[in-house]
Amino acid sequence: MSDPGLLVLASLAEGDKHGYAMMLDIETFAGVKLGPGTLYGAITRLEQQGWIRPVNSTDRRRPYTITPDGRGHLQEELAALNQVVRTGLARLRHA
Amino acid sequence: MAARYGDEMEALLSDTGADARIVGDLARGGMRMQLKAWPFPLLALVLGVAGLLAGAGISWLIPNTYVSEATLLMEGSPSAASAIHEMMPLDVAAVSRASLSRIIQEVGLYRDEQRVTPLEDVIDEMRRAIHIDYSTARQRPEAVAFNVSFACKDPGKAQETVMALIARLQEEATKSATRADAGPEKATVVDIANLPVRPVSPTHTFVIVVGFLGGLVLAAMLRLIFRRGWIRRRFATFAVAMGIAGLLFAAGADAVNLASSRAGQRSIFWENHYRSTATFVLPTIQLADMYAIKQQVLSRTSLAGILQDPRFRLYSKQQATTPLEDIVQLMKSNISVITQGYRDGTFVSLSFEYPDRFKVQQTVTVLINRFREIANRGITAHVDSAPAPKIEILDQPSTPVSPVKPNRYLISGMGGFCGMFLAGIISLLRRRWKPEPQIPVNS
Repeated sequence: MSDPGLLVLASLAEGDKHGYAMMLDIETFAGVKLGPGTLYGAITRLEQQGWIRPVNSTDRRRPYTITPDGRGHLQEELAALNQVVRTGLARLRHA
Repeated sequence: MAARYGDEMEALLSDTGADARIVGDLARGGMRMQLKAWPFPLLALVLGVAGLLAGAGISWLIPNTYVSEATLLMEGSPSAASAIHEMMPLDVAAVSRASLSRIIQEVGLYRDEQRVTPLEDVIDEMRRAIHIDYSTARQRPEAVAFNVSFACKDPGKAQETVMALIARLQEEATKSATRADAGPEKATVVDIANLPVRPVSPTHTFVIVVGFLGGLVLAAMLRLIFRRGWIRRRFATFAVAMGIAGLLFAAGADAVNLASSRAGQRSIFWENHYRSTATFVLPTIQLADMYAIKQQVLSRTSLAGILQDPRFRLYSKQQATTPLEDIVQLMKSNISVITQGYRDGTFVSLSFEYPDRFKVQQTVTVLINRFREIANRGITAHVDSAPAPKIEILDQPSTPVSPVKPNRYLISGMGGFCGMFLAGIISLLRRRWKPEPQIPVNS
């Protein structure tokens, strides 16, 4: 799974993070290295959709937080993925 | 967006450091954001200007081509139609291999190309740059005017070459009078049978394309065999790599094949076919009589004689297993004879294709001799007593001032148009993406 938007939501589901922290977290749990351009492209899209929002901060490293709509969207997407994973694994066991 | 995310991006870059991968990622991300955010007029303007600049840059890389042109008048023929008819063989002789190779040496043309390309190919390139176009002169309707032009990277050499071509045309016009007055036929060879350098089949391009496609097919087969592993995961990269490997292998095999063939050895990987061509004139054999002569030269008896000549040993492998009749037909299908009437004579262009480049040249020479023998045996024609055509120079070869190619304005304009067209495509595709509300810029 390498969709940057989904990875960012999954990272923020744990708690608020700024850009660099998201990159490190995503690399740890998904093994995917997002570049700054890709990351901020995803952040822009998610913010436009209303699934994340920035947290006020005086630091240049502005943290983001996931919104309730964002959690709902993440839940739906992961449920769909989970269905695919379970079906695939079951078929592999029976093959 | 720079106002919105500028500080954050700066902080992120100071944390991650900047290497080539990150710079590339930033550029891609930024481009994607701009393409999504900009309205169509701005996108069209930016891509149009980018296309215009790219087109201008490309056009400056293309070297200039200059054309020198001269206008000649041909007199002494009863009608314009017959003057054009008389001019054609002079034209053929002026652009013959012998004539053009002489001009190339005299004027010093294609010096760089001659270092890497055989003279045959250079001569073909020169023929494509020469234009002899016919028209009639209004002031003197009995005369035919024709333009002789040559395109070249050097304006001075373009002019010199046109002068040399005019000199050849005038020489040939004088020679044609001499031939007509000389009485019974002496076949005159305009272009001797050439020793081919490059095969006509398979061509280098065909070999390379087959090599590339073969690599792709092999990659697909390996993917079917190896169901797991990196071949599956990185199939696109693997397929391209295999295609390139196939292309390089084919190019190498082609080079080895050519080298062994030039050394007089058998081709190693596949059989190359070579073509040798000769042009000659039979000054007193009319076009109507050529059919009978051609039939005799290409008859079963005549070709069988050549096939069975121990000096040539043509189609030796096939002769062991295939009836002679079929081999004669095979040989006949590889011979091409093109005839063109000229005054009371005929121009003949004869070519033959065969896998051995030395034998192909020898065979064409033998066929020319057959034509001579049969023509001399008893077919005669009356000698025309019409005066030889006179060529008068109406306009001297021009000194080109500005290049005719490349048309930089056109190329730049096309680049700009392509940029705007691309903007239109992106704009149409954007509508299929999810509509995204604008981000308010924080004050």
